[in-house]
Amino acid sequence: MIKIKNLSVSFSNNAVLVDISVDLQPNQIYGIVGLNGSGKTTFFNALSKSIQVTNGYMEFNGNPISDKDIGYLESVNFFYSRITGNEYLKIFSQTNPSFNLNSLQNFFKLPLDDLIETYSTGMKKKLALLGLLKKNRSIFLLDEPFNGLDLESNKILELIITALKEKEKTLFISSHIIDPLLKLCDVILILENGKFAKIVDRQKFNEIEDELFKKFNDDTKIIISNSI
Amino acid sequence: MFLNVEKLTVRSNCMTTLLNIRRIQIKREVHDAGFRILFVIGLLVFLVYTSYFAYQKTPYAFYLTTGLFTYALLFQIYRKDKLFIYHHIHHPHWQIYSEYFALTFPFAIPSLLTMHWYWFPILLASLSVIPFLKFSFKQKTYFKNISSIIPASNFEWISGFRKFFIYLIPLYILAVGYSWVRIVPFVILWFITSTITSFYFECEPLHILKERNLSASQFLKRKLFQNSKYLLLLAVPILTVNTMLNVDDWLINLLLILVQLILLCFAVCFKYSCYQPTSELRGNNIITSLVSLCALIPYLLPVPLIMLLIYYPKAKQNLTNYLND
Repeated sequence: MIKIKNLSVSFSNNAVLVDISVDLQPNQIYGIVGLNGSGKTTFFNALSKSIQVTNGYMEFNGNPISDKDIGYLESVNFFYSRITGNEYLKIFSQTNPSFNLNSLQNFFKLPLDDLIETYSTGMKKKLALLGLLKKNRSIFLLDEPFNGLDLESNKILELIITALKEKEKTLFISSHIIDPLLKLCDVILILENGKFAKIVDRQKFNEIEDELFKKFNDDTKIIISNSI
Repeated sequence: MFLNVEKLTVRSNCMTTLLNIRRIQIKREVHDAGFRILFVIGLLVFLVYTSYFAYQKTPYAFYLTTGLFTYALLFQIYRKDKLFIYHHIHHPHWQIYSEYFALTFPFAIPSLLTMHWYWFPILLASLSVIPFLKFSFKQKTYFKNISSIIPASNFEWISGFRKFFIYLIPLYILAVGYSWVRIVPFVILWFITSTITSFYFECEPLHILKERNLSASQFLKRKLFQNSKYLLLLAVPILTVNTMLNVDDWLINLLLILVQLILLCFAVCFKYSCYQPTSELRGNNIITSLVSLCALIPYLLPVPLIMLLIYYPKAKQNLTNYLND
C-alpha cells in the first residue's frame, strides 16, 4: 500500500501541491494527468524526495518511502558532460538481477560508446530508462516518458511498462498525450490546482476528457479562431 | 539562462539583439556573483593593463592580436547557438561581428595608445571574416575504454581527462621525464593538480549523487578517498624516483604531495558545499585558482588546509539536504 497523507509543497508561498491525501494499491499503473502547471512534476519530485515537502508524509508498505523504493525517470534527462552512454550505465550498480543490457540494446540500439552530448532527446530518454531498469525498485515514476521517442521506442516503452507491472511493480506515469495512459493505466488521477480532483478507474476512462476539458466550450473555439 | 523574452521580442529587429542578450546575461551574472565580482573586475583591469604593455613591443603586439583573433574564431566554431542566430536574428553576420568586436575591444583598444596602433584596424578587419564561418566540429569520443582504467563512478576524472588530455598527457610525460631533478617535477605536478581541481565545476544529477545510498558524511569520505587515491597513483612514481635520487629532499617532497592532496580535497569539498543538482559552478573557478596559487607560495601553504577545514563541514551540511535517508 502507498499511503500519502496531507502532502503539501510550496515554493515561495506559492502552493503547488495542497494537502493531498490518498491511499493507493501497489502493483498498479497510475496515470497522472493535468494541465500545464497543475503540479504533476512537483508530485513526482515530492514522491522521489528530490524536493523538500512543506508538509505531510508518504509511506510504502508501512514504512516511510525511501530512495531505495523509487526509480524516477525525469521529464528532462540530465547526465554529466563528456561521458559516454556505457560509462553512464556503469555508474549504477546492478541490483535488478534480471536486467540484461545486451537484450535491451537489441531494441534500443543506442550508440553507447559515444558521448551522451551527441544523443538526440529520445536517445537520452532511452539511456536514462536503461539506468533506471538496472536498479531493483518497487515504485517507478515516469514523468512524460513518451516525449521525444520514435514510434518503435514508444511501443518498446509500452512493453516495458506492462512487463514491470507483471513483475509486481507500481508505476506512476504522466503524459501530455492521453492515449497511451488510457491504454496502459489501471487508474488515472486528475491533478487540478495542486489536488487530485478525481480518481478514475479503468471502467470510467471515457469521462476523463470531459473532466479535463470541461472549461472549453464552443466560445473557446470562436475566440481561438479569431485570435490567429 | 532565462532571458526577458518580452524585452528581446521588442528589439528582435534591431541591430544589437545579441549585444542586448549579453548585456542582460552579464547584468544577471554580476547580480549573482556578489563580492566575487571584485575579483573579476580586478582580473579584467589587470589583463587590459597587460595588453597595453604587450602592444608596445612588436612581437607581443602580433601575438596578442593573433590570440584575440583565435579566441573569437574558436568561440565561433564551438558556439552552440549558430543555427538559432542565423535563422531567427535579424542581420546575423553583423550581430555576430558586433559581439566579437565587443569581446575583444577592451584588450585591443590599448593598442591605439602605442606606436603599434595599426593592429587595431587589422584585428577589426580580420574579425569581419569570422561570421561567415558557419561550420562546427563534430564532437568526437576520445578514450572510449577509459572506464577500464578509471571507474565510471569517478566520472569527474573521466570527463575532465577528456577535456584536458591534450596538455595533461604531455605535462605528465614531462613530470616523469624530469622526475630525477629536484622540485621541478612537483611544480609540473602542481599544474596537473590545479587542472584536476577544475574537474569539480559541474554538479552531477541527483540520481547519480544518491546512487550508493550513502549518508552525507559517508559520501564525502568515500569521494575524498577515491579521488585522493587517483592523485596519489599519478604522483607516486615521480615521488619515488625523485626521493631515491634526492634522499635529502624526502620531507619537502612529502610536504609537496600532501599540499596537492589537500588542494584536491578542498576542490571536492568546495564543489559539494555549493552542490545543486545539474548546476555548473563557474563562480568557483576564481577561488579555486587562488587557493591553487597559495599551494605554490611557501608562506601561503596553510591556506588550502584552512580552506579545506572551512569547506568540509559546509559540504557535509549541504549534502545532508540531498542525501536525506
